[in-house]
Amino acid sequence: SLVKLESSDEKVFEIEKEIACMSVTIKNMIEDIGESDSPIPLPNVTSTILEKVLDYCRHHHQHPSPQGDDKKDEKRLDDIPPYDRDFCKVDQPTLFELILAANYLDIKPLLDVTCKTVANMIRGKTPEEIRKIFNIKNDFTPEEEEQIRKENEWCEDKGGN
Amino acid sequence: MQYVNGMDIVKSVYDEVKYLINYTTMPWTDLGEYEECSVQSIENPTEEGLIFKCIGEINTSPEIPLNVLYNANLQQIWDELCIESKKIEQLDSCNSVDYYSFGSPLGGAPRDFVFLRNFSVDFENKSAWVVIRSIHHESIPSPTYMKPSGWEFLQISPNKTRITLVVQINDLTIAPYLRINSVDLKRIYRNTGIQITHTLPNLIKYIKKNYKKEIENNFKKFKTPDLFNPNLNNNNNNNNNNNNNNNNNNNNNNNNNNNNNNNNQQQNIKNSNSNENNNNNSDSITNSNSNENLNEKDGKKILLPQLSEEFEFLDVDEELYDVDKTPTFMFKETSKTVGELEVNPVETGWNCFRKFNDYTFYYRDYDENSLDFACSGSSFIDASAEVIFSYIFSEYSCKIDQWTCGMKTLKKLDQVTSLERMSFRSVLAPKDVLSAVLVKQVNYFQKGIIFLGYRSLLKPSTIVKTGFWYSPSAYYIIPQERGCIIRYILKFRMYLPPSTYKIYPKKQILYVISEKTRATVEMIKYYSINPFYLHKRKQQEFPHWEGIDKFSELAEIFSNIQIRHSKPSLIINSPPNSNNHENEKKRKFRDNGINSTSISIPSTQFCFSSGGGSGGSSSSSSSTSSSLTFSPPQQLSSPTSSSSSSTFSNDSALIDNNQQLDINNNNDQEYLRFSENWESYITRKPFLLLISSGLHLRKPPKKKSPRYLESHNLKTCSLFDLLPYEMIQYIFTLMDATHLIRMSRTCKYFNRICLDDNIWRDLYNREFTKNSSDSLFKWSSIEDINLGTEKKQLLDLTFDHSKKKSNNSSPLSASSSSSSPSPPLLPPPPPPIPQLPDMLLENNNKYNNREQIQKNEHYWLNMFREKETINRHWRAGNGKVSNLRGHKGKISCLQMAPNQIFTGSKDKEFKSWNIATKQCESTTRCGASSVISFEKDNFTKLSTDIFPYCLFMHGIIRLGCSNGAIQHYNIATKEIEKEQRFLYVSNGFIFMKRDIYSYESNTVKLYDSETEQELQMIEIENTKINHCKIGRFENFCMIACTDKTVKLWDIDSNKTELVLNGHKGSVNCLDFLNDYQLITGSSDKTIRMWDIRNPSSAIHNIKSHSSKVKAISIYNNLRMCTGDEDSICLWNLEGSNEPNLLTTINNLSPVECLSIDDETMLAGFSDGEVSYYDFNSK
Repeated sequence: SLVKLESSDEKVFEIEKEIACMSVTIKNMIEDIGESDSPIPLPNVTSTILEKVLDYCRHHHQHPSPQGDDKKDEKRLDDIPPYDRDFCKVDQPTLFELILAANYLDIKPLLDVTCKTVANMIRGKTPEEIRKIFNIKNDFTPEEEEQIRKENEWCEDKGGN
Repeated sequence: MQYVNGMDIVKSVYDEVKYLINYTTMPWTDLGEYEECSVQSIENPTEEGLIFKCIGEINTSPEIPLNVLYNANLQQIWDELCIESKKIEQLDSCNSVDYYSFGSPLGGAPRDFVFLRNFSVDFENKSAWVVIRSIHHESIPSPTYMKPSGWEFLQISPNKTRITLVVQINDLTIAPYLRINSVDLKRIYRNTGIQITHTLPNLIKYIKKNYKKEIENNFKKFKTPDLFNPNLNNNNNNNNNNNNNNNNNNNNNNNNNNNNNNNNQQQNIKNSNSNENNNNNSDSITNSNSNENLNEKDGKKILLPQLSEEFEFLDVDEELYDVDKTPTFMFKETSKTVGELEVNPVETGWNCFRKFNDYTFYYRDYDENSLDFACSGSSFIDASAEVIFSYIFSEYSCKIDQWTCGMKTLKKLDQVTSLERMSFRSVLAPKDVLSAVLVKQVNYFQKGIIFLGYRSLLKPSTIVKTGFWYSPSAYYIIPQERGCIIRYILKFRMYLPPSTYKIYPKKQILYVISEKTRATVEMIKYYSINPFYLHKRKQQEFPHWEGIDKFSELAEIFSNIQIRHSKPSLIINSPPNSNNHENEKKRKFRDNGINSTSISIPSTQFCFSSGGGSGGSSSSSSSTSSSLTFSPPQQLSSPTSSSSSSTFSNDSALIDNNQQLDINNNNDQEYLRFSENWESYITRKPFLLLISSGLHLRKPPKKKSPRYLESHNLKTCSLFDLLPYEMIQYIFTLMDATHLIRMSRTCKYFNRICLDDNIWRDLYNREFTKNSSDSLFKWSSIEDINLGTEKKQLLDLTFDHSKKKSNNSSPLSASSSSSSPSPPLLPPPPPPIPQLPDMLLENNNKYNNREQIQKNEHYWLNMFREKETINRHWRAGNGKVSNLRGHKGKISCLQMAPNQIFTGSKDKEFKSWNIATKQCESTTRCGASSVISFEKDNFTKLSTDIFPYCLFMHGIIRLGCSNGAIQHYNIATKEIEKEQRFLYVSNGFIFMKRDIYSYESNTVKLYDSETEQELQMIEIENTKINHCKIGRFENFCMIACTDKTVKLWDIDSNKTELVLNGHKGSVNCLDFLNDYQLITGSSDKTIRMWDIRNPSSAIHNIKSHSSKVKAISIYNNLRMCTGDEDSICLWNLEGSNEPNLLTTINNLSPVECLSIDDETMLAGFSDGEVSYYDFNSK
């Protein structure tokens, strides 16, 4: 059966209930309200992002990933499957909006993969490089910066794993 | 904001439950009979979880059970597993929102539920229904979710009701159970439905007990009373009216009540129902089993003459703490402790200071003079529940327990509760014996689960006198197909005035307590597997609910005790009141204006009764009913028993009117009755449920973002500003330490986030507990997570500059030992001077304040930094070396304690050294022969064994001498206490609890140290034994021989099972890596690694040494050091299979013995010198 989802800019998407239910938020709404013809409003997601999210859900619905029950690997950064990696090759604003949408819609795999992408962007970079990539404003005074550097010397020279 | 019609939700729940109960063709699996109730289960087809069905019968009309359930507040009385039950809100007369908290017999944390409950009657099918749906209510922070469930009460004959309970549990609901060992407990849960199997039998028992007379009346007075037959009901109109009056009188007029009581004494059974609730509300003892009127005694402070005679050690004016009188009160109390420790230790102020495999230790500062300590864990014991039980808090305890030296039952209060007098040794002064009276309660839950709970009887305020106060603690014994899982929750408070810390640093105290606690459980384990007595199998009747007679004795003793729940006056980090459902006024979840917004709960006496009942609207005006929208006729309880005109009157009748009204407001005493036209009497109000507040409860509770973030309002001026704090935190948890630190250097906002300790906790657990498994049963998984760092952390607590100075200038040892009366276990020296990592020292003065803050807030960051620093020092072999000089002959054995070093030498002396000062504290001369070994001098060290607390006898090190004598050295007095001599020459000893191994020339012998009998002996021909070590399972001994081999001696079969060939020189030393792997060192300048499962050849042959390898020591499967004639090699065993050489330290003289642990290493040389390496500081 199909459900209707309405994005913040009032576009309505029709999608199989099963796919929509990959979002825990939507699943709960459907369970609680029951099925109806009126679209479920998702005021926090724009149509562009919702479309991407639905693409992601559709793909993973068709290609369910083998359930790795190894919880230890949950936080590994290098195990992003190819589709997901390509999926996350988007400009930064989109990526961040995807994170927000994944969080709001409660789609754990999407949230994981987007956050990992951000973490990977940080990997191997010096603080200065990180600032540059994300356009972060350095609000430390030179003295503060030096002090923090000193305090954290214990962790440098270890080299990124 | 989205609302749904509450009635629709109720309807769907009703349909679902009805379907589950009536649709009989589902393939239910029978789980067996439990107390005459049959239990079935089925996999939930729609999601991961189970549906349980429990069916029982009762000889009453459906009315009684329905009404017992209707009163939510009653559940905590009749349901043994229900810790708390409370009505939150009455939506209308057949819908309510109720709060429940259930404990778990498996030792899991209690679970909170908020249920929307609907009551309905189906006259066509002669059944009544209670359907339940889990919802969210803002007064309960994070309730557990349960799928629609419910009860059916089907009248199968006039006096018989079949009750069916259906509960849908998804695996999320049982998550709290899965904390310990997911697979096994989940299995238990699924196979038994452990909670469900209690609920219905408990309800039936309660009704049978409390409604006995009515049930009898049913039979005597009416041949075929039929609840669903309206004709019969008409007969009872008179009585109904009469009763109706009584009932209203109850609200207003107690005198009247009493009169009625006199007239209708036999009706009191029913009254107990209302009494209990009133009692409950007036904060007095709640007792479902006795109707004794305890209210009279309120307000009197009473001395206890009988008790003082019996407990001569108690002061007469000692106040006694209350003892609740439900058969499972201890269980309920303990469940709360479990929740505190396992669900939110941080919020309740607990600091976890030590953790490994089965044990987690916590402490919190209760006030400036006392400290709370807690331990939670579970173990598997391969013994029957009965045997294990006999070693816990029993007469045997004092033999095996590290604390107890006496246990005596003073009084049996009932069949499950007793008062025990326990005498125990103080931690600080083990020579002093203190006494305490404990309340002990043993419950036998279904499936053979035994619960043993205990608590100090006296109030916590008595702590100054006893020095010790047991909070509710317990052991759960959960039988498995083979053996049992025991689950333990220990919690107590110790009186530790600040002056104590001057003598013993807090670190040490915690250390000792944790070690002794662990030793207690280990001993229970040890003796359960090897019982030292022949367990007499008494076929014990395990009494439960029925057997308890009124607690008469308890009442006798305690009837005059003032009941007072003392609240601690001062709690640092006071636990938040999680059950804060007092604020009923703030109801978000509500009717949104459709329902009235006032809090007044319709105190409807809502009856299902036939037309005659309508005449009964003679309800006298009661103030509570003034706010009612509807006041239906109030009638007799049940038509069948109506001839006896049961009343609702308040027995206690002592509370004044105002109070009474309050109670009635809170505790609407309603009664449901059956009649065809019941619908017309009940009120129905539409109500809406707010969806956004979460009908489903899957949303995790929001973590509070730290205060400083709000105040600073920092920004990154980048896209990150879009993300909520939690999301950034989540991204950060994906990074390693190096990158985290780099992020923290980019801007202030990230700097703040990176200091969030949760991130560091996750990281710490990821980096340093990789190999630790959560399995209970794997030996090899024993792994320290924070032994080293914990030391440091605790040091931080006691560290201050003045102390540092005094430590440096003059060793405190002499002065403090003289000032403390009996420093027995703990030697008095000051703590080692904490060495902060260099960069911190540099900035120490400048950023002192900042650091102080960090110390408190950045527990895990500091732990991580510490561990990382030690690791780096280890890798570089970069430690601070101190030389201990004093021995004149070859060092033969050594070991280190947290602040002491013990060494034995060929020069016939045994010395103890102070680690802080590196000075010799005492020298003991062991007669005319050299000291060749002492207990645990060179055992395979695990973080779980801390010398000297792993010794078999309390505070006694057994020394072995070359002339065969065994000296008992008392650590406290520093003197030889006793000499044992049953052999006359030895080359080395191994002390394994009661067993003593001695090797000499080519024989190894095993003796029983108590009987001094030789038990086993092996002789190996044509060789000489250099070294021996006992495997971890204590069932075999590895023997290193001069004939270039290592032999495995199976002790039980007394055979040489294996020979490891490969070395080209005499094998000098060996140590175990894990259960099966060992590393040997030989004169052929190699060390080899072996696996006894594949003994044909060595796995690794490492040729890093340039001379004979003479000593080896492995710590926790992580680190190894090996010593030869002129150097010591440090190895890393973590990660790869092959030992990884880190560094080599060159010495002047040959190494004789070694010992390492997490951050230090101790080496003894042939010239009598001892070197101490501290890798925690440069």
